[in-house]
Amino acid sequence: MVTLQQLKQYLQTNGPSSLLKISHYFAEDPQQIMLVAEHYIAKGKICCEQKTPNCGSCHGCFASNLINLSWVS
Amino acid sequence: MSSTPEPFHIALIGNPNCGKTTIFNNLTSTYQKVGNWPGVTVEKKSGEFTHNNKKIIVTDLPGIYSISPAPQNNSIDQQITNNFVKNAQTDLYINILDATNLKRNLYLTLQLISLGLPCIVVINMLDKTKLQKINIAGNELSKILNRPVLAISSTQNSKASTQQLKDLIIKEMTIKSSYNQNIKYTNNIVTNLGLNISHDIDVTSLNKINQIVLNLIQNDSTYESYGQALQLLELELEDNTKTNESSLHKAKQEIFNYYQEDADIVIADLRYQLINSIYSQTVTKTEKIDKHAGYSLKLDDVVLNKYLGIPIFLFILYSIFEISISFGEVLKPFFELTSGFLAEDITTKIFSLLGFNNQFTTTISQGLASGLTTVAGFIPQITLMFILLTFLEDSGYMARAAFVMDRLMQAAGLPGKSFVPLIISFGCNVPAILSTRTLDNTRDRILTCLMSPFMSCSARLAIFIVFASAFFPDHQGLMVFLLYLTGIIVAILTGLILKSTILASKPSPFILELPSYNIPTINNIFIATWQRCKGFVIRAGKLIVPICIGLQLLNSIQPNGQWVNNGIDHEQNLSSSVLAQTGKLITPVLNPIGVSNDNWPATVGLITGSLAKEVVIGTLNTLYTDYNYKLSETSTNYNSNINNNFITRLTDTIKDARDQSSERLDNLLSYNHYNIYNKEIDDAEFSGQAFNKLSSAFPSIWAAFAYCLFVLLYMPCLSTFSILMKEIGKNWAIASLIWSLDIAYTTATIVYQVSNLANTPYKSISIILLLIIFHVFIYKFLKSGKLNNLFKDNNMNFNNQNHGHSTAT
Repeated sequence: MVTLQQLKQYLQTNGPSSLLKISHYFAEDPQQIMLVAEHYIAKGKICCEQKTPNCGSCHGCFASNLINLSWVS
Repeated sequence: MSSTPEPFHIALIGNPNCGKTTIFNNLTSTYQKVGNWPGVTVEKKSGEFTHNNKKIIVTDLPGIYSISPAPQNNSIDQQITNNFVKNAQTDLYINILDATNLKRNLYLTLQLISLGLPCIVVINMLDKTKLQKINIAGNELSKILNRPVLAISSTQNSKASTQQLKDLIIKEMTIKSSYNQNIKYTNNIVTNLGLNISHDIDVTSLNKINQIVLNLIQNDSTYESYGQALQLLELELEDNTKTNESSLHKAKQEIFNYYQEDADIVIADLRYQLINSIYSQTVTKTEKIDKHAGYSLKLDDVVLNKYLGIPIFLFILYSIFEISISFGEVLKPFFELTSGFLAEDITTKIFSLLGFNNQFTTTISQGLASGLTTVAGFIPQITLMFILLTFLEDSGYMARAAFVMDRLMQAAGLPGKSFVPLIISFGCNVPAILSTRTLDNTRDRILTCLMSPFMSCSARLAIFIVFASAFFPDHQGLMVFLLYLTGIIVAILTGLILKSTILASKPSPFILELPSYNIPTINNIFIATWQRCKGFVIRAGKLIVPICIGLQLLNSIQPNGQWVNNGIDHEQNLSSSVLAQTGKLITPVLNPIGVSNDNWPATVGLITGSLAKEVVIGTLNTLYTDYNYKLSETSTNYNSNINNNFITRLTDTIKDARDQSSERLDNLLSYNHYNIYNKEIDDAEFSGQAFNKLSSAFPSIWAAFAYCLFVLLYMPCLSTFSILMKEIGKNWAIASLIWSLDIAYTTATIVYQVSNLANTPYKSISIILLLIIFHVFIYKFLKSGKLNNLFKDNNMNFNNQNHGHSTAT
């Protein structure tokens, strides 16, 4: 299970990343990552943005690929 | 005198969708709603059972992922559980863990243990871990957690599992284990947290925080335990009013200085490290799982496919209506004929014996029969629909449907999570609005509450079935499906308009948890269907029957108090009844949607339907039935049959029903839909006469379709309106009422006027243009923000105390 320190380190090193990418890196469920990230999101240390797909309705994007996490320095 | 021993209190606590309510039902033998998605339980429920002569009161709490030190920041269902843990005096917590998501579930367990709360751990869904070749060492876990651990599957071998759990509860209650109370705090933080982890944790880096917590406990007696001190360190200081702020502040500052992180982050990180260690010691996978090998994933590849997902969902929805309606038709005669016979025959006999005149007796008996047959006639179709919906819910497909629609809703900038309550709306809008409590964001919650009433509930299905069989006999399923689809589209449109006007905000990021597929158990399907059908029949019966009797009376007397005469000018006399006069006053307003002035019963149906949508059909059935014809027909039938004994007549009725059902089944199997639906004219729950009148009451099939659209959208029923007032406040509830009336009138008018373009082009175009101009004006007005103040300080009732809790015993 990813720890808060691991997540922090990842975002500081790799910059803004999609939730899908992070979950692949740590081999964890995206929801699991979100639960961990929420500790930092509540403090404003991690910024969580939901992108709206430009296409509108092709349904090709995984929901977790539309969620972007970035470390707020 | 012997005194009754005090009952034990236990509470079920765990993550969402870990099976708490299933275990609650197994323990208490009750039938609370369960579902294969997170957030089914949104309020605490109580039940009880007796085991080994000990009475146990069980509380089922809404699912939470963690105990929050500041519960006011959570969604309402989470606040309920957090406040329960904070305030309630329960003797024992039963911490339910989902065996397939052990890591995530253990976070809450560690919190409960570190707080020193009395709890036992139940690992549920063991059957699924077996399929996934995951082995959980329960004994090892029990040693580490210092708590009894029971591994069960609540859906398989439920009797044996429940018995084991009950035994364990009684055992724990009897020995009254006092957890963490005798712990001597040491330099080892893991031991101080009440755990017994032998390796894998680097405690040296945590020595500092351990020392700080120990100092807090030693220097301040307000801290009852190590866990409590730890939890208070997680609080933001402004939330903490009862503790010694200076010592706590100092401690938090000290932690920050040492770790360069806030105390709550350090503590949360510590828990994640502990979980990793516990997991590695207790869980083994006997073979590497190929992610794409599981049938669940293979199925998901299809049902969640980017191109196929939505068409599959729509096809399944359509199939549900087609199957429910077609097979329901076959069983319908049993319910209609028997209930109609019993109501009319018995009432007529009783009233005749009591000496009432023939006119009064017939009026009352027909009102009662009309009400009862209306309710009973829909039982087969509603039951079939509930069976199919429950099957989909329990199987886990409904969560996938939410996922599929989630992407569509996100594309439109709407909260994806809100689709789960919208799906619940297909059954009834009331629980759907309650289930919005799982939404974290207040704006999303209001938005979803305003969208829910447009989703077609089972009550509206009853109306659509009658109209479909009258006007679209060959395409009943398709017509009903189109109406349901319109409801979904209008709900999304409502969301879009509100999101871009008075509820403008960014959608909350949302990850939907997809539960694994289940094979639904017959028991669960039976229980859920029974509960829903019972609710439908009681709710509909309580309103429809008295309203039908009342309407029959109002339709039989004139404003001067005289009975409507049965003379030659009966039609004219009938139109002079109190009800007809009232209906005629309002009907002109509905002319643009295709309700002509002489079709006043349709107007009355809409008025009574505002109490409950089911009542529309009862009203139409009563008012479209020719009183004079009925009166003479009933008198003749009654007089000719009165000499037969009751049993013989009942047997004849059942025989008729059997013959009709058998004929309908033959027609269905030979795809002769026309004959199935045509039988409606003779013997439907909607009387033959009423059916004929309904068919001719609307000028065209499009007028009938427009009327159905109006019924679908026009206003939330009384129960839904009350729950809206309670959940989102008076202003929003009234706004919902006005908006739904407006959208219903506009949609129905446009449909009818477009269909009528060829006949009255200038009139139709003028009406449509007027509506468009009016709505552009309204949209601009909303966008201007002039109404925002009205809704900003509305009395939204988000206070936990007002949500109460239901009791099931």
